[in-house]
Parts: sequence; structure tokens; C-alpha cells
Amino acid sequence: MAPTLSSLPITIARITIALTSPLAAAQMDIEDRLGAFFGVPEQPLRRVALCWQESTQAPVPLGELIYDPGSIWTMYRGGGRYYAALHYPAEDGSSQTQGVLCANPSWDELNLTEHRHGQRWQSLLALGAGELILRTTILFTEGLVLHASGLDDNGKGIVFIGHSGAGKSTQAELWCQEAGVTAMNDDRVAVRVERGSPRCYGTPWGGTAEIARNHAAPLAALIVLEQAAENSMELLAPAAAAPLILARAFLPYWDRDLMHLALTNLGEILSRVPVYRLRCRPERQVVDLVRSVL
Amino acid sequence: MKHKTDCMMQNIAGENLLVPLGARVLDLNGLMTLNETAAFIWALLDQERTLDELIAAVAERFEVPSAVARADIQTFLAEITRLGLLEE
Repeated sequence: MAPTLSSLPITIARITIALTSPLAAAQMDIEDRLGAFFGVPEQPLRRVALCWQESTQAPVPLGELIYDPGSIWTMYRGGGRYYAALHYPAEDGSSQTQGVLCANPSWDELNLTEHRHGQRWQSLLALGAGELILRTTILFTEGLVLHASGLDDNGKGIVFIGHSGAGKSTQAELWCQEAGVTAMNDDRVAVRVERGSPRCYGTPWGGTAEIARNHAAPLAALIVLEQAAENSMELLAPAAAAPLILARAFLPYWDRDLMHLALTNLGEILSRVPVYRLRCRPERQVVDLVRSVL
Repeated sequence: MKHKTDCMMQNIAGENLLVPLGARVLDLNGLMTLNETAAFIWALLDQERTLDELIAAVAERFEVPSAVARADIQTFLAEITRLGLLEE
């Protein structure tokens, strides 16, 4: 007898991932990370079907290796589909493939095959697989996921961009103490231009401060962070901002067509959103400086 | 000669960026910004070209003497050869 499939929509940045699985959310252990994102908004911009399947052994990606970023996943392509092999260190210290995410070229028909093992197993949908789905499907909605922290300052969305250690989490924590500020995320923020209006969205994947709220705001500015001895803030020309943002965006380097989409989206965002460089110390005065400029 | 296919050039906000693809991402440290002449030469090298073809095209496009075009082209070719972006 076929197992009963449960259906669960998960919506991040107006992209609805329609999950079907023989396991309930609790069995997949995805509620802590994704629970705030369960449901469907009135008007999602894109719907992707995700079918979760269990494998009795470590799943194997098909096709040929096309990209290995030296990270938790490697990308393969074969038969007109993409296969991302996800490998996290196991409890015994070994690192074998624990899941394979298969996607069609438009990334709206997805399969995630996982090997359940160990007492504390958690579906990779709550981790790298979900994050890879978001960062890729968002390209089809004129958006990008940035390595950034994002907050809503009394209706103004501010996104701080920087590599690890540049102060993204510090900014989120500093601003949290201000009236009318909602921190959205301190590591991964989704941005896009919607009918001419830029917006930013929190995602489920937070950084060192573990901030990950389902919250959106009109995007007022992108701010590239640099640690410095003195505080200063300057507006960057779009041409100067482009390489800086590009280096801090999660891009589909494994595919030329997807890259073209991503770069087009970036161009559109840069034409609508001012980008500043903020050199600063980790202190409260930075809040006043940023507010005086925006 | 022609350029390799593991890079793509795209104009973003008025800037011609040369963006690496696939395995190239790991050994190209960062992005290259191409000026107008370099971007023009890169686009020509989408197809197989001889040095003389490049010189003629650049001299005509930018209305410069052949000697100037040759110098610009050789500088750019040396740079992309150093980065391993030119087909052998």
C-alpha cells in the first residue's frame, strides 16, 4: 500500500515550496527552522513542487560533476536535470552524501532524496537543501539572496552586506535595541524589485546571532560593511557597487543561463536601490549615522 | 584565438564585469572589470579571430591608428593569457 503523503506549503520571500512527503514535518525535524514560514501568502510570486523521498542507503547523484564550491554540496548535471549532492559530516565523523536534490531547468519541479540515519536525523530541507532551493528559485522572480543581515527600521528595510566577520550580526544586535526596529535575519537576506519597488525578506537561515524572522520591508538601502577605526558612510556609484554586491551574493556559478538571470536581477536592483559603504566601529553611534543619511 | 567559455561578460549598472563560471570561480580571485576597449575585444573573441582581425576591428571601432589598436590588444591579450582565459 502506498504511504500517505502529507502536503505542506512553505513560503519564503513570496516563493511557495509545496512539499509533499510520506513523513510529517515533525518527523523531518524541520519545524524549528521553517515553522515560521509554513503557509501560503495571498499572492506568491512562484510555486515550486518539492517531493521528498526516502532512500534506504546514501543516495547517488546522476550526471557529470559541473561545480564543486568546496562547500556542503556539489552540483551535477545529466539528462537535462541538475543534481545537488549534499554532504554533511555524520555523527561518526564521516562525510557521505546524505541527500540529493534533483531539479528541472526552471527549478520548479524538485525532488529531495534523503537517507535517514541516526537518532538526531534532520531533513536537509531545513539546512543546505532548503537554502539552495531558495537561492536558485528566487532568480526566476527577479531576486537574489545576499550574504547579509537585514532589518526593518520603522518601515525602512536596511540590508547590511559583508563577508563573515564584517559585522553583520553585530549590526543586527545593535539595531535590535532601538525602538521600532525588527531584525529579519543576520546572515541571509532575500531582495528583489517587485513592480518597480525594491523589497527585502528575512529567510530561515540565520548567522551567529541566530536571527531568522519571517518578515519583509520596503528596501531603502544596501550597505556594504567594513570595520574601521572611524565611522563614515559614503554613497557608491552603481558601477562601483556592482562588484561588491556580486561578491557577496549567492550566485549559480554552475550554469551560464542562471548566471545571466542573476546578473540581470542584480542590475535591476542596483538601478533602484542606493548602495552605501559604511566604515564603522561596533558601537551605538552607527545607528544615528545611518539614520541621518537614509 | 578565442576566449575560453568558463567566463561570461555582462554589463551591470554600466560596468562590464567578467564573471567566472564553474571550476573557474575557485582559481580566479575576484572579478575583472573591463573598460570599453577590453569589453569590445572580449566580445570579438567569442569567435576564433586572428590578431590582424582584432586590430582592424578595434582601429575602426575606436577610430585609432593600427599601432595604437595593436598595443591595446596586446596588453589585454597578455592579461587574459596570464589569467588562463585564452584558448591555447
